[in-house]
Amino acid sequence: MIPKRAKRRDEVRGATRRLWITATLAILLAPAAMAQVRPQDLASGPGNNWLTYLGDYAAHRFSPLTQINTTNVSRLAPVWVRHNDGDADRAESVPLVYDGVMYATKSNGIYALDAVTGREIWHYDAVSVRTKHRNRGAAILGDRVYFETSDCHLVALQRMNGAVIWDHAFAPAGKGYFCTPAPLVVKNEILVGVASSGYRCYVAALSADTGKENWRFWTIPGKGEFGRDTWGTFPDDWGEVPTWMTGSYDPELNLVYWTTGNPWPDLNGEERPGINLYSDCVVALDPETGKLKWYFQFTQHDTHDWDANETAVLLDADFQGKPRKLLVQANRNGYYYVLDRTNGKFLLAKPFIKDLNWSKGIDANGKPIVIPGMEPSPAGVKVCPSLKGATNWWAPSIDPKIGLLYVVSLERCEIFYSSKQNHRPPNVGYYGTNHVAERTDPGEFYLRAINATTGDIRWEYPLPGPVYMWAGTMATAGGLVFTADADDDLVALDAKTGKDLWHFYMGSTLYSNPMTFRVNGKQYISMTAGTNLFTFALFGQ
Amino acid sequence: MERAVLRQTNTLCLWDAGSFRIGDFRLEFAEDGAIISASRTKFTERLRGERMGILRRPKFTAAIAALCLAAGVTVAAQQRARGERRANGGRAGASAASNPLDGNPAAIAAGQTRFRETCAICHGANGEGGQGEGQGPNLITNSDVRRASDEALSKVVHDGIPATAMPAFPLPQTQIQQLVAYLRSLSATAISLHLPGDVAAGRAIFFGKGQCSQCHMIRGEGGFLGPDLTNIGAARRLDQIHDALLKTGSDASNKADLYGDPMAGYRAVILHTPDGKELRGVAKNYTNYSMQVLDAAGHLHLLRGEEMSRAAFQPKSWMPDDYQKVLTEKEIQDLLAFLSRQSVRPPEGPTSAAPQPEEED
Repeated sequence: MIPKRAKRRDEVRGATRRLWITATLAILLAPAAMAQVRPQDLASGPGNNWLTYLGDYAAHRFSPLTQINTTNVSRLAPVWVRHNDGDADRAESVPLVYDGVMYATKSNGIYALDAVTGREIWHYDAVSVRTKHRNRGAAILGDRVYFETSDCHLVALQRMNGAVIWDHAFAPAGKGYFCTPAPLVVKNEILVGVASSGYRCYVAALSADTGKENWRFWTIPGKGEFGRDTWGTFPDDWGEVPTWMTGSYDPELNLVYWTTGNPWPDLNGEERPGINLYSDCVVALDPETGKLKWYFQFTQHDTHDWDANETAVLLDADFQGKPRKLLVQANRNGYYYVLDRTNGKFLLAKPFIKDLNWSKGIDANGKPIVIPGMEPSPAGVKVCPSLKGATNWWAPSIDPKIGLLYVVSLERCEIFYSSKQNHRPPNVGYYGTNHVAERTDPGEFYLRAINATTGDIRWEYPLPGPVYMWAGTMATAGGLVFTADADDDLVALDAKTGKDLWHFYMGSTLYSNPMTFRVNGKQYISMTAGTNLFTFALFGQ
Repeated sequence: MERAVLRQTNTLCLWDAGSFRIGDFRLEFAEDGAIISASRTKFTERLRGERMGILRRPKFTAAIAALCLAAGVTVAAQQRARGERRANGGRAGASAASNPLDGNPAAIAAGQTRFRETCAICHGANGEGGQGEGQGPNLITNSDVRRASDEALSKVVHDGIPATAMPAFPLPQTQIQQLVAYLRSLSATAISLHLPGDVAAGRAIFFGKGQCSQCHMIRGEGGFLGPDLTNIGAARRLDQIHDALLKTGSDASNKADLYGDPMAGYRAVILHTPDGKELRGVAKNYTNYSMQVLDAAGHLHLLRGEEMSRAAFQPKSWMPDDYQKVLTEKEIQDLLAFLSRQSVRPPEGPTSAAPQPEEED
């Protein structure tokens, strides 16, 4: 008689063997089983990996990694640099990292690198693209990576070998649409934004599997729709309002937050009387249908090119003693805004620049109290902030524990002129005036640490140099905030105090946002400068 | 004394009274770099004259010859292209065709027949260039041919090239147009040829009998060891695809950059894993310090330092070299018909507009 236990073991062994055979067969027969990036991986935010342009859905750009911290960041040293021939004039791309492989874009191309050595695994150059705009990054889901071409095709690639799966146009480049943003993955959809030279823009959701368009949200209402009357008799398909910055997403509320650009013609509002919905807004969209849940407009009837495409940061925090779901944004118009992201209700606004002369403040409904006579005029009018804005798409970041939002801010004024310019249709480059703007002063960048719930500025750090840079920030649990100065340094500051702890001269202007990742227990920091991609780690480890 | 001799035919330039003189030479170099003889062009006389003396000085010969060869090719190409653009209103690259028979399959077929009767003796049966002494250049890859306008090619056929081995063929205009259409088809991308064949059967061979999809992908379907073929018809000429399929490991397929070229990221390796398995893979990249291997199952192995000894380079690419035996002639034709139609974007042309005047920010 076989002892009970032994028998059981044999049975188990037999079952295991059958399972093993089945499994082996499955491996042999099934297509390569490889790690799949799931939507919940994107939602869990950065760690070893960095899986979205803004780091996580809430756009915190905050990494929990602590290996590089306030005590040792002085030992940060470059480990590799890659010169990207054939990119546009400046690399705005933020790389993604998954499982030790880095995916970075350039204009009309993407490459996969061994993230530790910088060595190329594969690259893909989009075919038959005639335009060459900058590109801000890729998206990742499943076994694929996605990026937008200059001529507004979404390209899906197998991410291990760079094989192209499909390449689908989602906007007609022939009408002057062009595309630069990193796409946003929401569930099984890829959300894309567009820019144009006058024609109205939209956010579109394409199937991650097939590239088929599921919905489109137009940033300017069509004929007969709510808000159409905010444009006077302006032609239906004109007005632009681009969507060129990656949105944020709240999986719990199931709302996508997308920020929109300024109305066209940029500096001449005469032809488009009204508040020009949904220009300079944040719109909350249902990701299943693209339906508008609510909107909030920062600047009405904009004539200063103050796009509101700046990142919308989602934050759960106590606001005036009550826990609230907030959406905060430092806007190009000079005000820092706090909204309730469940319904778009305005809660607070405060200037985050010293020179702000176009408005007396923000009223109880969140509308700027505009000082008359600040529109561009033939004689010229001095307006602060400048056309480049009090901030721009330079990514902010937030350390939720410290409660500070780090914003690259620009103090600068400009003379805005208008002069009679014969009207030109979209797609030929038309601002509505001959003169655009003239600087009154060179201007200076500051990194400002803004108390996220009060709008008060806790500390600031000057980022001097000629104001050509377009760089953002990243915060880490190592107590650090990384950003750039206009003298081409990458800098690391103490996130609590703004104390300068480390800097590295990158040799050319910085046009992107830093990011961080970890491979085999070692933490790295990456950032582009010019058209080069640098990666750093602690020296001697 | 017996001298080792290197023979070379190339375009050579001569700095002569402030201008470059250009011509095609057949050169024979001795081991020490001295020119033993130069022949077959109108410049032969000059070379045998006083300047030949300069070139004979061993110290300078190699350097001068190399410089001249490089500069000569460039200068020749530029001058010819510029002249023709002026004369013909500009053929940018090889795009604008003025030949009324361009792309016409019947004309291409007629041109091919004429070519075999008239031109193949010097330029090879398929325009690949002649072998041995006195033979004509490769008409598929030659950049001057590809860059030339249809009119210029017609003129070369009709009038010949004086002082070279290229004679005049004063054929009727239609026959010359047929020849030019055929010449164009040689350098055209495969997709533009509308190659006859059963495309569906070709697809079945790709994913079935031919086992191509074990290593190659098309639109994300297939394996990892070989190059993606989704755009192969739009990116390659038919002869390149043909040679890559049937002349694996030959110069032709290497030049096509499809495989075999270690720089292209497809050098074959066997990877010995720590648990004793052997995996087929390709080295996507390798240096003294790191190697990035993609295995047949699509897993990446990022090797550093000593780990790199686990990857053993293989003498041959993973591409089989027996398709001539495995597939029938019809199957090869069908497979080529299928492959030549692969294109990421529709072949009708890009949807792009001119560069935009505005910046978004």
